[in-house]
Amino acid sequence: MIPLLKQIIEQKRAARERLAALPFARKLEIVEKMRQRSLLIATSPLRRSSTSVHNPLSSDSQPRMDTDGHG
Amino acid sequence: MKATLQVINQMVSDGVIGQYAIGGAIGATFYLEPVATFDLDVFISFKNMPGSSLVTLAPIYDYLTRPPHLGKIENEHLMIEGWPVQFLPPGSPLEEEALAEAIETDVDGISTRVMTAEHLVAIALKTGRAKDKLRITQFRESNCLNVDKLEQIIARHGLLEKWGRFKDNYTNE
Repeated sequence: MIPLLKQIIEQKRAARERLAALPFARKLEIVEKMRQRSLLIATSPLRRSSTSVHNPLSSDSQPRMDTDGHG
Repeated sequence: MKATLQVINQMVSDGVIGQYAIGGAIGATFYLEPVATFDLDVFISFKNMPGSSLVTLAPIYDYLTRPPHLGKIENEHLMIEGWPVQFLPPGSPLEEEALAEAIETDVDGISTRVMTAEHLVAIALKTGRAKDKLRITQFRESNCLNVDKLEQIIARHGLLEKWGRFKDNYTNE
């Protein structure tokens, strides 16, 4: 593995560890922000012009988010 | 999310549900880095089912769609304070055990219960979708698992074969 790639992987691992070590309340705030942004993207006119999304909260408009029972 | 948890705690106080435990992606977020998710999975036990073995979510829907909550039903979810919540009765002894052994924690002073990391992994193994396998891998890399405890749960709930296949396919062991 080339050194730069190794360094990137190590930095990503360290970033994930930092995030995992945050207090639960702080992590939930981040989850909320990610969800809000995903909903904004789902309701964007640009996205709607190219897909059949009508209800931003329906499961089928959230293909990259956990939705089904054991989320 | 805090407001959502407060409503769920109030449901416990009001006797609408018994004990509960957060599972799924939000449960995993307790142990891992935050992950994007659409909903909150809440595993529940029922308190008020006298003389009936029938499991029904009707009391929960009645409670949450009446004032003051006026929650909306969105497919299989109930919207509580802006979050789609899915209430899940335990479907097997594994989920019953996960519910019983969930750990107490709090979110800025609001108490709540989250499944143990080992139970979340065992449930993910049982469910077995691609995202579940990814989550198991994340747990294994995070070093937050008690491997002995996990393997006991896996053995107790008849998941050893699945566990062996998972390790064959996704790890170097």
